[in-house]
Amino acid sequence: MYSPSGFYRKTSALKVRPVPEMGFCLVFTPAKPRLFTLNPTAWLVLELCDGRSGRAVERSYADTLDLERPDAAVRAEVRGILEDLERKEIVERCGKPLVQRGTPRTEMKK
Amino acid sequence: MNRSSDLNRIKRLVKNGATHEQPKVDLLLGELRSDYGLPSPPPTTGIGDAVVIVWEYDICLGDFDAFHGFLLKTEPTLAADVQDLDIGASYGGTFAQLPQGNPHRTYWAYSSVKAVDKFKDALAKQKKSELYKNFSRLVAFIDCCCTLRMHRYYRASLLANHIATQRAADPILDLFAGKANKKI
Repeated sequence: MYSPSGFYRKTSALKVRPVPEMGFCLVFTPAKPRLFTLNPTAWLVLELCDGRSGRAVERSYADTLDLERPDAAVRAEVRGILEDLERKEIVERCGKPLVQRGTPRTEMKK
Repeated sequence: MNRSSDLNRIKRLVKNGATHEQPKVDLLLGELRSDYGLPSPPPTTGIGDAVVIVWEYDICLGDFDAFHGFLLKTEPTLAADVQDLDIGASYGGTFAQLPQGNPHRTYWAYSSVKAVDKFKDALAKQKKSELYKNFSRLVAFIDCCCTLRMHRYYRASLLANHIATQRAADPILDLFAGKANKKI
């Protein structure tokens, strides 16, 4: 179940292999050996899962789509894909926000 | 590459898309996990054929659906029209190589070497025919600037006591020179 206030991160040992020339990325989940393809928007959401909250993911996602703030459609998309990624054990929720080194200051402020 | 530039690259990819695509995660099927190229199926022509000409080419990713849809709609007509010429030429089908997907092969079979030239002449005389138009459309899909390769196979048993002289190119395709990769 999606939680806007929950903090999301990639599952440990997850292998991500970008294939930008084909417009997707491959993801391998070693715990349950399965391979997935993520289209660019799903890939974006995955990369945004760096310990930030669901709501922050929505904002960054909307920002990429040049929307001032997340509308209902964006929220539904982010909710849907985060639930799917979590179900497939590609991302997981963590107890507290993680701020990664290199996160742009503007994104941290949001 | 650091995380920030990675993220920027993905954002550019998302923004560059012609239409907004809903986020999607697909399970990759087991049989597609290997990068081993499966051999193309053999030509579906009969043993009576003396010459098999294979066009090997890549189709641009963006043209996949259009090309495969074109084949779905046109292949039976194309094969029947070639057969109707009754000059010993036949269309052997177009096959995609998996898992890569973009390499494609089209097989043509001829009952004799002369039949290749007969087919060329027949096509040249019927430039308003459906066969010619379908042929042109097929060639137009080929991303031939760098990928078109031609293979000509002779039935080995017919080479007994002969030395075959191969032509550098497929004379049939010569007809359509300059039309490749231009949608019709």
